[in-house]
Order: sequence, then C-alpha cells, then structure tokens
Amino acid sequence: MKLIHSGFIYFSLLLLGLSSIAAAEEAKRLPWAFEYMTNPQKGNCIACHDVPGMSGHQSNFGPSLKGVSARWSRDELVQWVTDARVLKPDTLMPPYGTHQALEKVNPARSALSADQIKDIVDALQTWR
Amino acid sequence: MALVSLLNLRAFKHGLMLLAMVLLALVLLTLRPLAARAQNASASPSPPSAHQLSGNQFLSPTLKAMQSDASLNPVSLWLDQGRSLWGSTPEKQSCFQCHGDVQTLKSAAPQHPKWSARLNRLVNLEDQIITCSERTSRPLRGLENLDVLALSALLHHSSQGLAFQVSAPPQHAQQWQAELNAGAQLFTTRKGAMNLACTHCHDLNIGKQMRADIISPGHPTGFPIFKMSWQSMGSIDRRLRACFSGVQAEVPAPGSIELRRLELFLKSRTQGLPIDGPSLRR
Repeated sequence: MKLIHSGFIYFSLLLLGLSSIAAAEEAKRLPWAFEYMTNPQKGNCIACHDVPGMSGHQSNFGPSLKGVSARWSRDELVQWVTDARVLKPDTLMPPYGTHQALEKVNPARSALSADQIKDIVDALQTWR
Repeated sequence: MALVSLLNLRAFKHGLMLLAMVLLALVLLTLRPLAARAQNASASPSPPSAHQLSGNQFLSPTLKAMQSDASLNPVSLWLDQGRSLWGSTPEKQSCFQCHGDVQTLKSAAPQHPKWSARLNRLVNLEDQIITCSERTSRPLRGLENLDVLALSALLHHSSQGLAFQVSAPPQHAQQWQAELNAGAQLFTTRKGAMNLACTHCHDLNIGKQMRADIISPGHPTGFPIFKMSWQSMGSIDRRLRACFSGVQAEVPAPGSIELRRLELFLKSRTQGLPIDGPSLRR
C-alpha cells in the first residue's frame, strides 16, 4: 500500500516536471512567435491585426486576434497562416507559407517556415 | 323662416371656407421646413465620400500642423530651390529664359503623364523636366535628383487648385487608351508575396488603420512628397516603387513604363480633385 502511495507521488512529480518542461519550451518559443508577428520581413501580423497586449496604434485592416483560438481550431489556424486561400479564395490574408500561384514575388522565398508558423499558431492559441 | 335658413346656409358655407383655409395654412406650414431643407441641400452639397479625399486629409494632426507652417515644413526648402533654379529674369540657362514666370506653366503638372510622339511612350512631369534640362548646359540626371524634385515641387505648387486633365491626344488616342487600360490592369492585379492588388487597399479598405497609417484612396494630388521615413522629397515614381516593395513584389526600375501607366490610371481616377502638392507624408 505504501509502495503504491509513493509511486503515485513520484508519478505526480514526473507529470509536474514534464508539464513544466513543456511550459518552459512553449514560453521559450512564444517570444520567437512575437518576433515573427512584429517583423516586417516575417509575418508582421501587427500591420493588419489588432494583437492582444500590443501597445500604441492598433490595426483594423484584418479582424482582431483577440479570442482567435475560440473561433478556429489549431489546424484551421495553421491553414489561415500558411495559405488562407484554401479557406477563403478571395481573402486578403497573404499566404505566408507558400508562393504557389503568386505573381512577381520578390524575394522568392516563403515569408515563414513550417516551424515558424507552428510557433505563431502556438501564440495564437493562447488568445481565447 | 326662409331668411333664417338662408342665413344658416351662408354661415355653413363661411364655416366650410374657414375650415378649408385653416387646413391649407396647416399644409403650407408643414411643407415650408421641408422646402427649406431641400433648398439647403441643393445649396450645400453633401460632404465628399472617403473615395474623394486627398491624401492630405489622412495626415496625423502633427503632420497637418507641420504642413501648414512654412517655417517648419521642409517642402519650403525645395520650393526655394525650385524658384532659384527657375530664375526670375531672362538670364541664360534659366527656365525663365524660355518659359517666363512659372505661372505660365501652371497647366503642365495637371496634364502629365502625357503621350510623347517623339519617344512613343508616356512621360511624366519629372521626365519632362529632365528632357528640358538636357537642352541646357546643366543637364539633370535621375528622377530623384534634388533639382528635378525642386522644379517638380515648384511646378506642382503653381498648379495647386487645378484638377488633373490627363487626356488622349487625338493622333495617338489608341496607344494612350491602351496605356490607361494597362494601368487599370496593374491597379487591380494581385502581386507579390502579400498577394495584394492596389484596389484591395485603396478602394476596398479606405480609412482602415495599419498601425500608424490610415489607408487613403491613393489619389496622387499631393506629389512630389517629403516623406518623413525618407527624410527627403520623392517623386510619384519612387512612391509607387515603394508600394511594390511593400507587397513584396518585383520592383519596377525607376522610370519604367509600368510606373507611368499606373500614374496615368491614378490621375485619371482622381475625378476632379484639385492638386494640393507638394506635401508631407509620414
């Protein structure tokens, strides 16, 4: 009985440790997400969207990102950032993960890599 | 008895007349304010829609204040330089020698870009200034040359209040129309990594905020512009290239025909807005 009790405590500590590591990793990645969201050479989400926590001028060219994760699933958010044309063919949201069917692009590389989009979506999912 | 009934009938008729007059007065009193409102409406036209506003209407209060104060407005330095280059006496190599006072050319800025039969292409005002300078011993080189911009600023300043009058020359109407159509096509075609066309911002999202910028209809009435981020005066050619860069598209070379086509289309869609440049931009 005592052994089961100790095992439970150790297992709980393990879970707590793992979740802390995961949280630490997420916390490490989020600042990168904010870097991509504010860098004109990357996503630069702030140019068009009202971004929670940002001070100064807010943009309203696109919808506010407040509560964005309540409106869209993770897969949908990845799709919105990668190539929103799949979800809405006449969208004004640039396709950050692809250059497919674009005209006269310069520079000829996607603004964001798949990993960078993942980081951005991690941040978007914190806004419920 | 008969007299009494006759009097009653008369009183009844008078009563009816009186009632009719009261009703007429009430109708007139009701209609008068409506008529006055209609008259006022025809006397003062409704305010222009956002589509009819100059870029100067979208400046921040700080920039508006700077623009209206000649001692703070850097544009005044370019105007002084322009006046100095133009000259005020018929001295050799001055613009004044051939053209006289700058006011004699006040219709030049509104008419550009225009078709050049000699070059078989559209030329804008800065192109024309450079061509003109090549006839002197002091030829100017480059669209963003400070003296070219100073003369452009002076000529636009002399045209303030006039509307653009870009029109097809009778002998080259077909080519001119083809250029205009190509400009419209450029305005409405998505381009660059941002996959946006000019129309998406400057027709569909006027007044929307992009951080500190408010999207204007893109009417080119305020050029040349002193743009704070450039810390210099710049031509419409440069500003259009900046837009291509903004949507991460291949940027046309300075003076390229795409830029002249787009300029022609932009000036043809100003619909009578007066020139109010040179001016400041953020």
